[in-house]
Amino acid sequence: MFIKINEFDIENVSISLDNMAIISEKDILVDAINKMQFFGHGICCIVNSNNELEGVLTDGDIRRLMLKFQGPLSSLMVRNAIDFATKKPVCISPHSDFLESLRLLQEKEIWDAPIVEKGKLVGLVHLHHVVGKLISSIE
Amino acid sequence: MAKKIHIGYGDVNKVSIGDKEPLAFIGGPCAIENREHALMMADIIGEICDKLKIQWIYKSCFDKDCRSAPGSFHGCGIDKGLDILAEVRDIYKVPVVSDFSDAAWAKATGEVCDLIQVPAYLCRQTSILRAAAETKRPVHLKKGQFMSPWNMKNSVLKLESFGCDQILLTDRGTFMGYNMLVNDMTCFPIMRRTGYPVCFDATHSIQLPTSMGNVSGGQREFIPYLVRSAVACGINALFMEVHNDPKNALSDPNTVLDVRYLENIISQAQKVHQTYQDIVEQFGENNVHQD
Repeated sequence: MFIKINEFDIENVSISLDNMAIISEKDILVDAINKMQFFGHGICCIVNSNNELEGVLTDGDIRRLMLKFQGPLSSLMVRNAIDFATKKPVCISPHSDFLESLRLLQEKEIWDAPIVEKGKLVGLVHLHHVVGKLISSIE
Repeated sequence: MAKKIHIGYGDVNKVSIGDKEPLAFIGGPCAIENREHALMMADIIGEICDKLKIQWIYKSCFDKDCRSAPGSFHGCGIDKGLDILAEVRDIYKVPVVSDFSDAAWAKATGEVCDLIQVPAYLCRQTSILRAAAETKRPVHLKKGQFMSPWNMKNSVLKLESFGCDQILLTDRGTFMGYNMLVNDMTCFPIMRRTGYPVCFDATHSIQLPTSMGNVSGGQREFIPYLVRSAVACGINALFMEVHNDPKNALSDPNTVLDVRYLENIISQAQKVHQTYQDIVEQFGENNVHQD
């Protein structure tokens, strides 16, 4: 029983743009949470009108925000999501080495990383998705 | 920092509202009573504003659709009202604003008015917001008495989705139980988060809505306190309805400010506004515990 790791690259484990949570920099927090809920991912990518990545908002960001925020929840939900986003997230290039990328996620203790090429968002690496692909390739 | 909005088309005196701009005043009789009265009020208020060098917008409405009683004065009607506002504009070169309560009235209102007002009770009605945005005029959006300041973001997003990017957000008090309004001064920094300038409506804030059975009461003695507080919280414009003879005013007789107090109140507001701007200049924006 083994996995042919050499057969994997970032592109064939990536999640495409139409299957991940993406919002614009003008969208409010509730839009981000709704998209994350819909796709079942713990990350929402925030892009500008040129599809350039401006930041990411994760489950962890939202947890920390909930612990810190002391106003009414309804006042939080209408704030711009970008205000609470990580502006310089860990990103992966579509041409990155597959194992190196997994090591990076492990080292940073994160589950997801946007795939960015020349500043533009092109997809998402999500560890569950990667593990699923690896398991299904076991011979 | 709030974006600047620009009010006035044609040859009227232009009004700019925003941070680092002088305080603006929006005022006039609540309802257009008749041509002579409208012109007289424009003359009196204009003279005071000229003396105090405050940029101003004449406000008066042609239809008061939210009266408590069916027998109350409902307004002079859209055709007559807009003709009178056009004449005020033309004679005094002052930008004018009126609200509209029916989406079908928006187009005609926008053809005359420099600023188009969305009534507080209708501030979340999509059809009204769409109609206001489609006039292409700047929109004066009043916070409903039933709305939280942060939920006004949704109305702003609606206006923006219909192409409007010139919005003034105004607080006119918030319901506390029945027949009672309170002013939460944090509503100004909260509404400023939308990126648009904010305004305080002093004369409606002291209203006791429909507290007299079928007419609203008011506590006008509190106007100076609330004005000074709101200006100190960084408002960009002050709104007050004024009348030469409040007890005989056809609309809001218990809340309109007697015009004889206008110079005093505006002078106080200007002084506090200058102090506020000096404070921001010296100590920076109010960014305490924002992290």
